Formats: sequence, structure tokens, C-alpha cells
Amino acid sequence: MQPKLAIGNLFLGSKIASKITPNSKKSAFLQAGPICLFLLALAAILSFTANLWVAQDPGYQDLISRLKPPFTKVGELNYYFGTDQLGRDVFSRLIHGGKISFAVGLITATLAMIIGGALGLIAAYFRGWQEAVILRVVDIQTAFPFLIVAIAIVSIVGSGLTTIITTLVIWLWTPFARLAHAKALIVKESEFYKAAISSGRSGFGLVSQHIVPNVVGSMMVVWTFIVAQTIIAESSMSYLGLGVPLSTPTWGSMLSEGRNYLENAWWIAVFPAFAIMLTVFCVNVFGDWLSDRIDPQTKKI
Amino acid sequence: MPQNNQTPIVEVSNLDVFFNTTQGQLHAIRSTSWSVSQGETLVILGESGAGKSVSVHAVSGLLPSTAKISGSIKFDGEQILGSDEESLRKLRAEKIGVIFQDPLAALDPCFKVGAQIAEIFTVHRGMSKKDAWDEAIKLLDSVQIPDPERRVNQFSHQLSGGQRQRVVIAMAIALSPTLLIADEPTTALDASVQVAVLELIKKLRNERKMAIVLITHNIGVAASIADRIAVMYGGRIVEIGDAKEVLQSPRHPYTQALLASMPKIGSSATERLVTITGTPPSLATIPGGCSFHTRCSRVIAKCSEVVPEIELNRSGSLHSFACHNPEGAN
Amino acid sequence: MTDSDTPLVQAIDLIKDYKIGPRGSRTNLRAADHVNLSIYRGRTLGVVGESGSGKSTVASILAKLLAPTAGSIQFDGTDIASLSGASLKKFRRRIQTVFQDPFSSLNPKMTVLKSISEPLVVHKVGTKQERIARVEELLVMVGLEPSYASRYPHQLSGGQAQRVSIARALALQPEFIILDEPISSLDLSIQAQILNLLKDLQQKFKLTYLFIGHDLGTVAFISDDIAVMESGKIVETGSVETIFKNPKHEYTKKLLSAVLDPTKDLGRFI
Repeated sequence: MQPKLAIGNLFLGSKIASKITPNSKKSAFLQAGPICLFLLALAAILSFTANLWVAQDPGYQDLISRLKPPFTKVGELNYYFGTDQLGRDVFSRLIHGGKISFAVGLITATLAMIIGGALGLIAAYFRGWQEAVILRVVDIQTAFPFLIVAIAIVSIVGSGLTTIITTLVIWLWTPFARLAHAKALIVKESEFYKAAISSGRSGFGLVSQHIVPNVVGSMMVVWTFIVAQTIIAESSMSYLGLGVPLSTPTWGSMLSEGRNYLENAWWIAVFPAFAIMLTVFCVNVFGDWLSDRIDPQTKKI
Repeated sequence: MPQNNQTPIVEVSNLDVFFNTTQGQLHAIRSTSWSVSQGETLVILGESGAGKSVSVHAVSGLLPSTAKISGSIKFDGEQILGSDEESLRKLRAEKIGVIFQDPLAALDPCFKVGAQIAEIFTVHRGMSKKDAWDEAIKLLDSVQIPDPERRVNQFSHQLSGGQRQRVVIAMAIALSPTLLIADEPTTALDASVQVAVLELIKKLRNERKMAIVLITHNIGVAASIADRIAVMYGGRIVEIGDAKEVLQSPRHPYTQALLASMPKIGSSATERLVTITGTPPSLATIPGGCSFHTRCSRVIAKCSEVVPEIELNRSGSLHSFACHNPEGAN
Repeated sequence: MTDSDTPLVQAIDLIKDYKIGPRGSRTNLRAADHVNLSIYRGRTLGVVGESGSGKSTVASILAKLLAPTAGSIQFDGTDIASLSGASLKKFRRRIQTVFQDPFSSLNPKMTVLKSISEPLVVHKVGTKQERIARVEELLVMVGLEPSYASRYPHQLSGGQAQRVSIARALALQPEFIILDEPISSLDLSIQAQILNLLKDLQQKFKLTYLFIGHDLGTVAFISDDIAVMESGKIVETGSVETIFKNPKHEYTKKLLSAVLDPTKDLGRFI
């Protein structure tokens, strides 16, 4: 497009769009976002209650029945997703493995949000040295490649669930801090904040009544994306042997073990790969939907 | 002043604009007709949501791709609605100049001011870079930017608001367009700068004999620069005619009320302003029948059912308006 | 129409300096330069100026949203420039503000009820029921249906949002209201409605206004006296009539000539 007309188009487009988009009246529950949320919740519940309903013991090794394809029946036992190289039931390991993925995802993202959010708010509210220090730490940390930090920590402390969660929280608090800081500053500049001060509000009241409610929505959106990132990160770490001990099934370790058998026993790696993909996909769709609800300006028309 | 017996530069007849939105089709602009001739300034006056920008930019081609236009748009006597993309693009680039409200948005902060103007010449006239820069300097001078040789090397943030708008005007007139569209060109400027920019537009129009369509919600601006005024409300033109007649003898109830609601210099401190109850509708919520009937003090039964017709207006001094129940005899 | 001879609000020699520029070569920007204003009870002082004139800075200082570099503010005989904490909070009941952007003035996460009752909550006025009643009373006062109390800002038009801001400003029955460009973001016909409302409220409650604006026409309509600002300084003050009929300062004359009147300036740029 010609230079002088291109800008005009963008400008006019947004001017018009803001005047002609009425609110959506589609039923809130039939949209993709809530459906994905429902599926995720279902998957998480199924994973956490795995002990109650999954028939096979994920650790039980039936060496005679190694590398059996999906839908194999051996005597009374149903191997829906086949068995792996040690004769363990892939289906059972998949469901049990979800426990770790969901747990790590939810706990890490929540901790990161609380810590990062608090630090971001402190930086924005006080400004001064608090802001300088916190933002500098955020900058430095963002510059560091995560995996190297993870390897360093694990090699010092040893692998395990708490290590993974701690490492991931240390990596992932920064986007929350940045966002909370940026959003809080926007609130501080707005006229309703000044009106609140004018009314006599101070300190804690300002933060709790005005800053937090206008920050928390975007934080939740980031939270969902961080959950997705954490699941992938945990899988990567397990894949590299940096995660939980190998006896506990996780999607990442299943992927790792299964890579050697891709040709003859694809199901060992493919099912956990799908699980990761679907979970992350659902989380992202939900996050997108949530984002549209929280910040309608960024919606696509 | 307009030359009366020639083909208008732009002649719009029964223009409708529809938008495809997620909620279905929106009928935004309804059957508007207007024209503007060489050397003439037509001001489209109205509040926000009236559809001024949408109806004018149907001509400039700057509407989003979700817009569907029907009716007739003639440029220099030729029908352009329905023409192929390439010739439309060429027409719009060469014959139409556009100025928007916010000069900061129109100027790229990463490039020198001179570069942005020069680019127009290198792209459209095939000039060499040196010649294009020389033209840029000449252009800055014609828009009354002092010290153009120095300014041409500056970035937009180094200029004041008024100077930026002059640069934008320079870019709009660079290829000597026959039509200049100014969309709220002075709204973001201080009052004294506004006067200077309007003076500049007057000077350029008289030098270059352009037709100008200026969109504004400011009655003072409309009065000072318009040859003719079209008052828009709810996606329609409700009154159109010579500036003096529309402002001093308004016939449509909306125009009358709008003019009365403006605080006049010298009014005493105890007077109250005449107001119109309610709020102007957005393009998505235009009432049926006459778009103004829900707020009109002269509303009758017919107004909510039948859209009042406005006489088709050619370039001339016919003062027309669309009302079922105007004051006095027609 | 003055109540007494002493002004209700006095800005005395206000100065506000900002240090701008990169470290190492900082320069001083004086946004308010020895500003002196007197505002009398029951009257409106209009402050006019273009962008960069410092009028909003002065408004923020008087609203105690910004600390002056120097100078004092007398409110009903007390110097409030140096007040803070609990003693300042007492004065906040008597001084309120209305801002320019109707949507930025309301917390998007709060209902109209919550926004308007916030001053009451902060100063612990009334029980919950009493506050709801008061909010409904205020809504009617500013020309809105009481049912608007449950709406969110995005469900309001610009004019309605601005009325809510005005209602909030009236909640604590203040004496002095600072209005910083309160109608600049509104459509013409809505501006007229809000101007009328402000005038009515002033008469009804004997309010004192400081009205900041950039359009001489509107400021003149609502003001009794006008102060003209340029580059941080007050260049001229006087009654509305004096300023318009007999302007003395060059800048005032320049501003006056920039006012476009539909009758007098018809065809000025043809």
C-alpha cells in the first residue's frame, strides 16, 4: 500500500471498529474457551484420582508382554495403549504421569504469579530504589537461558519434584513481575486513581481497591500460558533426565524412553506427545478466550 | 470560491455503506448524496458516531475490508465505484490527499521528515533521491515551516504539534491532488495553532484550486472555512447548503438544536444552554425512520416509521434538509 | 455574588519545577511559575491556556495530587500545602476533583455504586444502607436514573460517565470542586448538558469552582472570573467581561482572536 495511505487505513479502521462492535451475545458456556477449561479440569481430576480407577499398576513390569501394540489383551489385562520396553502399561503410565504434569504446572504457575506479582506491584507502587532493583533483576534474569540455569541448579541440588518446581518458579516469576509492574503503572496514571487519592484513599486501600483488581485479570491470562510453558518445560527436563526420578512416570520421561522405539513401538512416545500437545493446546485456547474477556481491546474483530 | 458551472470533482449519490461484523451486517451510512467542486470547501459537520468519516472515506478508499459500498461515486465525472483495484489505487494515490487528526500517527518516528516526503516523489514520480529531497524542502516551505533546510532532516518528535500537522499537509498535497480530505485536522491542536493551520489550508486551496472536504465536529471551524456545510446525524445527511444559510437559517431540528447548544461569547453567566435530551447514537444503534426522531422536540408519528427524503443536491446554493415536521412553511 | 471578602481558596506564589533530560545534562522545566490565584466562595474561576501552559499542573497542585516546589495554598484560612496524613484527609472532604476523560475517571472494575460511594467509605460516612440511599440521591441529582448504580463504566456513554464522576465529587458535600477540562472529551450536545448541570449544582449547593479549559467560549460561559496562563505564568486575570471587552496582555488578545465564532468568523478562511 502507498505510504501515506497505509497509516490512514489502520487509523480509520480502529476509529470505525470502536464504534460498531456491540457485545457478543453467544452463550458463554458453549465457546471454545470454557470447553477447553472443562476438558482440562476433567483430565486433571482423572489424573489425580488415577489410583482409584486405573486398573494397571504403572510400575508393574510384565517382561513377557513387552512392546505390545495398543488394544492388546493379555489374559484378563487390557493394554489400551500398549506396553513399553519393560512391559509396563502405557495407558496407566500416561494417566499417572499426568499427575506430575498438572501438579508441576499448577503449583509452579501459581507460585510464580504470587511472587512475581507481588514484586511487580512493589516496584510500581514505591518506584525509587525498589523499582530499580527489581526491574534490573528481571532484566538480568530474562537474559539468562533457562536450561543452563536449570542444569546448574539440578547438578548442585540433585533432581526431584521440589527442585523442578523451584527452578521453574525462579525462571518464570519474571513475566508476572513485568506485567504487574506495567499494569500497575497504568493504573497509577489513570484519573480514577487520582480521584481515589482525592477522596482520601491512601496506601493499602489504593492497592487493594484499585491496582490489584485491574492487574489480576491480565495476570490470570499469563498464568494460563505459564502453565502451558511449565508443562513443556517439565517434560523437557524429564526428557533430559533433569526431572523427577525415572521410576515415577511423567510425560517427558515417557517421551525420552520412547524415542528409541519410534520405529517399532511408536505408541510409547506418541501418546505422551499427544497428551502434552493437547493439554498445551487447551490451555492456550482457554487463555486466549480469557484474554478476550479481560481486555476486549485486543480482541480480533 | 467555487466555479459554478463545471463538473464537480466528487459527486456522491445515494451512497450506502455496510459493514460485515461478527453480529451480522451493519447498515452504517444511509443514502447520502453530496458533491464538491474545484476550489470549493465542503464541511461535513456532526458529532461523534454520525458517520462523517465513514461516508467520506468511502471516496478515499480507506475503509476496512469489511465495508461494502453501494451507490454512485463519481470522480471528475467518472464512476469509480466498481472500478478495478489498480486504477482505484492509482487514482487515490495521485488525485486524493488525506490529512488525519493525529499527525503523530501519520508520521513514522523512525524516519526523518524529509525522507517520508521524498519517498512520495521517488515512488510516484520516479524522481532521484536528490531531486525528491529538494522537492521536499520546497514543499515544507510552501506549508510555511520556517527553516525548511534544517527541518527536513529532523524527526517527527522534534517538531511541535502544529509543525507536524503541516508536514502531514505537505505530504497530502505533494502530488498536487485535486481533492483534499481533511479528517478533523485541527481537533488535536491548540486554538492559536488551529487558526494558523486553517489559514494554511485556505492558502493552499486558493493556490492549487483543490476541492476540499473537511470533517469536523467544531461549529466554529465549520463556519470559518466552509463554502457549503453538510450536517450529518445517525448515518445520514440531515441538512446541506451554503454555509451562511445552514448556520444562520437552519431548518432541520437537529441543526437548530446543535447550533443553539454552543456557548456564545458574550452570553451572560446566568443563561442556560439549550440542550438536546439523550445521547447521539452510535452507527450500530441508529433508530428507525428519521434517525433523530427519538430526541426531536418536533417529532410526529410519521417520523418513527418513514425516513424523510432530502433533495439531491448539486453544486450550487440549494439549501436542503430532511424533515417531516419542520418549523414554518417550507 | 461574593460571600465575604476573603477568598475561599488562594494559591500563593506556587512554583513547580521538574528536572528533565538525561543524567549529566539535566535542565529545569518550570511548569508553574509564581502562580497566584484567588477563588471566592460561590464563584467560578476559569483558567484558560493552551497545552503546556501549566493549567493542569496548577489544578493538580490545588487538588493536592502534586506537591509544589514552593508556595502555599490557603483554604478557608488554613495553609494546606504542607498538610499530609490524617489532617489532609479532613480537608479532602471539602475539596473534590472532576477530571477530563470520563472513562479514565472511573475504575473499570467497579460499579457506579462502588465508585460514587468510595469517598463515603473512605471517610466512614453512614451505614451500607445509608450509603446506597445517598448514591441514589446523587444519581438523581446529576440527572441519571438510580438504576444506573449497578452499571459498569463500559456500559455508560461519555456524558453519563462524566455525570457519575460529578456525583462522586458531590458525595461528601464539598465546598470547592476543581474541574480539569471536564467537558473537553464530550460531544457538543453533551457538553451543553453538562455545563447546564454544573451551573445548576453550583447554584443549588453554593459550590465554588475552579474550571480549567482550553476553549475560551465554554470557560467564559461558566466562569465569573478568568485567569489566562502561558508557559507556567498567569498573564492576566479579570472578570469575564473585562477579559473579553478589554484584554490587556498580548497573549490574551491572541487567544481571543483564535476563538472561532460562527457568526463573526463566518468565511474567515475562504
